[in-house]
Amino acid sequence: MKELKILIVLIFFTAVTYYGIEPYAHHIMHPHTEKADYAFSDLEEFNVAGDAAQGKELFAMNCQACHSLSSDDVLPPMEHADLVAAYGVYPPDLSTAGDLYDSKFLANFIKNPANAAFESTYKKHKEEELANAKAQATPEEAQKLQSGFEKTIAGYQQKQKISMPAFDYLSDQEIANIIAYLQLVKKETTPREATAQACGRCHSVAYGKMHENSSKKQLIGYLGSFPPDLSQMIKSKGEEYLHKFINDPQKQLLGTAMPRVGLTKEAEAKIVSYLEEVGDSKKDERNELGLYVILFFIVMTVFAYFFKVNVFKEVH
Amino acid sequence: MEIKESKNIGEWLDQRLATNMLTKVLMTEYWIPKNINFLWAFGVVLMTLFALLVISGMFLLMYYKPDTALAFNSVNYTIMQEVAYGWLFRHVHAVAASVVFLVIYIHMLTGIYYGSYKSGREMIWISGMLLFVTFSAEGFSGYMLPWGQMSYWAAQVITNLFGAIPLIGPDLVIWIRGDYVVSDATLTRFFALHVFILPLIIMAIIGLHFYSLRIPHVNNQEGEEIDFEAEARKYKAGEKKKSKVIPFWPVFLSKDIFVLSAFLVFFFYLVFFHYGFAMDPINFIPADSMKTPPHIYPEWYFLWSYEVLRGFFFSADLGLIAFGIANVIFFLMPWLDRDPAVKPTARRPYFKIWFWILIVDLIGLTIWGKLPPTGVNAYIGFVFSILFLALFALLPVISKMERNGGAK
Repeated sequence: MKELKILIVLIFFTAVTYYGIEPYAHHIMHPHTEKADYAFSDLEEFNVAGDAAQGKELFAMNCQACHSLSSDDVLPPMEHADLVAAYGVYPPDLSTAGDLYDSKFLANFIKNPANAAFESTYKKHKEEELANAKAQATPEEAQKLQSGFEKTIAGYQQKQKISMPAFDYLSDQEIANIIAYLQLVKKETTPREATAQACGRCHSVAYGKMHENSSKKQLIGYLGSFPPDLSQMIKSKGEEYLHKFINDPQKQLLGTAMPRVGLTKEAEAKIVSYLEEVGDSKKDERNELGLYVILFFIVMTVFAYFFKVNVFKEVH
Repeated sequence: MEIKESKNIGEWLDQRLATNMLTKVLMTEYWIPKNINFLWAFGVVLMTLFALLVISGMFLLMYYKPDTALAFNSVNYTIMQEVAYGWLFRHVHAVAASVVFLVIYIHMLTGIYYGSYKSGREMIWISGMLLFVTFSAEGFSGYMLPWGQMSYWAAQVITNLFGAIPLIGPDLVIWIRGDYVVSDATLTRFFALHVFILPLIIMAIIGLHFYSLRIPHVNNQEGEEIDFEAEARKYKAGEKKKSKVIPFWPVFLSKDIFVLSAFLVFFFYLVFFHYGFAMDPINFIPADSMKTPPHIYPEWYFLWSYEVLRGFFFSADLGLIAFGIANVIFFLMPWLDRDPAVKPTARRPYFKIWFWILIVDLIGLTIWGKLPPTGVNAYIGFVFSILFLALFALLPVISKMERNGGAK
């Protein structure tokens, strides 16, 4: 009984220490954020049914000057290097766009790329920050915070963040037609292809032998800093953080140069599963072997107990 | 001595190496008190963890590359994903390195609880404390090797501490790093320390620690003075139940093996399913001298002394002095405790209070050592730090009061 008491004291103090340095400390260091928002609720709704045949014509008139669409035999307008020289960054092939990206997000993106990728969500999270700061401020301070906020937003909107111009002269119907066309000709993707398409223009995944398809110099020029390799992101950030971050980078890292890309929930799950496949490839082996090893030591503990009882019979 | 023809290999060895005598001295006639509990098994647990560290470390050494350009990928790609069961060796190594400190702390506090550091047992305590210090150096140097963000920044912060030593400080930091900043030169020298120099020193001190147990013998639950020779005679005469001692093998070890097996269930659960505490996520980001992580903290086992350092948030010098004291003060336990009687803490009226406050304080320091030192946390850390120093300042006083009749 005395030994049981000692064991309980030991477990109690170990558990308190563990709770303090792991769950509690992480809770303090990484404040809670909302779940991923796959409805992109800060963006405008488009409730128009599109017509793919008209979309094809619109694509030829508006998109084809920069983008290729290999799934419908639309070739790139220029050589890779010439495109990069002309636009500062390589305009992606759109064969997988209808599969990977949410249609509401795509519509908003075509209408105003900078707003959909950056400004709308940046503003939303800055507003939340402002509301929190105001709640603890005096009226004069609140006034100052408000004018500071407006300046920041205005400054942010003036920064050029994206090469694609806004197609705000297209009607909602026309935009819906283009999207209907992209969805008609879309190509299904494997997790690796989805990652290459959605992330691979800026990021490498070295452990998956995937390299960013722009030069380092171009990327730094375009983004301001070099985007990190994604090989170990599943380990350093974890699944939950990755989902929230990819869905809305500004929510986790306000002011980051990474755009919101508007992946559907399914496409995002594919990408995170690929990052896990590359970054934690032995997960299944680990989980399986773990059970056997633990079982072995449980059995050994039982045998050791009877051995001990047997030996101690003589001395007690 | 005449060598006769041997009937079996045991006899052949005995004639040449006196193995029968050796077995007696080390095992069957190495006497341990009977009145002990499972906390006495933690020495063997530590030995096992050290063996696991050496074995897993040797396998890691076969693929690890001590070069800032290669280190990160040699660990996270080659070892973790390419080499068969490389991940297992890394998990065992990382988890054992973390858990070994939990067991060291339990082992140390058991020694303090039962007064096993005084009245002839001072060398056991000191050699044990030397092991704690060398294990700390081993843990710190090893943490640098994967060359992740926390490897780099913890190394930067901790080596920087030496800069505050008067006169030689700044030169000392450069000497330790081999460069003005933590760099390739630092990584390779810490590698040399980690895989050769420190393990060698640790093994030598383990030998000393075991040897130091032989003369004063192992303590027991009541601090009772035992005549080991008389009790051993009783045991050998067949009065095993009456004797107050048991032989190391098979009796003592039979229980140790049971405790060890149960411990290994817990240990391998951590290795396979709950290793995040020993392999910080931030360390899976490659080291980058241009990007400081928002929170830099040492491994959990350094947090209490780190918090004594940070606790004096208003003065870096005072913090460093307190940190220096915290790192040597446990060595002085045998002399700070002025009551020579060996008794368990429960039977010491003042020391009892002192001991449990110490436990709470160490845990408090550990937890607040990880939290960001902002707002009220800075003051809480300060209170815990002051309390730590005060406890050791008070120890000679309260133990002297006990010696002078406070205790029955």
